[in-house]
Amino acid sequence: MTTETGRSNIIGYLLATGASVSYGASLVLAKQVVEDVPALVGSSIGMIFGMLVLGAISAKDMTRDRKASRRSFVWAGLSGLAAGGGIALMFLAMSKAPVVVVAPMIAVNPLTAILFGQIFIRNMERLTPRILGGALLVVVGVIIISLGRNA
Amino acid sequence: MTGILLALAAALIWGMGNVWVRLALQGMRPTTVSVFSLFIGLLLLFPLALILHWDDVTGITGGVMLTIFFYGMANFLTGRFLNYSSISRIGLNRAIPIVASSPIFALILAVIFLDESVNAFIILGTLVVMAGVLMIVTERR
Repeated sequence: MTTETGRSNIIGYLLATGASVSYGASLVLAKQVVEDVPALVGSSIGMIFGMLVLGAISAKDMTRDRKASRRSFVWAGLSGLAAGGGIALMFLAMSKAPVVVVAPMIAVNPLTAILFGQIFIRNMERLTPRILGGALLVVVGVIIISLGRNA
Repeated sequence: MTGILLALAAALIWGMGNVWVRLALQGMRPTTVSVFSLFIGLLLLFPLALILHWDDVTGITGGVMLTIFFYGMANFLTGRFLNYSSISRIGLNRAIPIVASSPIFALILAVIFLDESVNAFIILGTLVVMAGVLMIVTERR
């Protein structure tokens, strides 16, 4: 492993951990939000705030990316539809079944990402037994935590 | 059964969505992918929120709006941007499981700020998640 790659990996792991901390904080805040408004309303308005602030901060980046390929915009658009559709399905699931049932099902999403990655972009993603084992442990651990929190 | 199928569908869609993010990041910066995906996601969710919960949307107080603002910053600004940036750096397979360990941080914050209690299940789950993350970050490329 070159020093350059090693440094990039460390930055990547720190960014992923930062995302995890942010999502963790958002889960706590979401608990407060849904006491006052339906989850769909809280999520939609939260998305508007997130988009506006991130858009304002990254206006220069977006200007540079305006000449990106049409295909890149299609992938980004599809990812947005998937993220929004996933949220809608999750809320729908929670209206039909208790959280203790829904949360473990939702928790398997890293495995579905890895599965689809292996099917569709295998040339871009390297999967080793160690990474798969680590992902499985994360999913099992998150399921145990969600069961423990709802026990 | 319907609830389980819907939850599984959500997990499948999010999984596929992450593949699309990885593809989009080949030609765009993480910031642009984040903003564009939020915009498209909003086109789907906001009309639903207006149709299903019009009274709730129009009746939101300033205090609740502030909480939603902070929620939006944590989830859709820093969370999504850092998530996409990490995918761009270390790839989907290694980034997503680490990002998925967020319930541990939620738990820590809930214990600190919401006085949530911890039981043996939660401690066991946390240790299992940490073992998984450790396995991934100690993997040599």
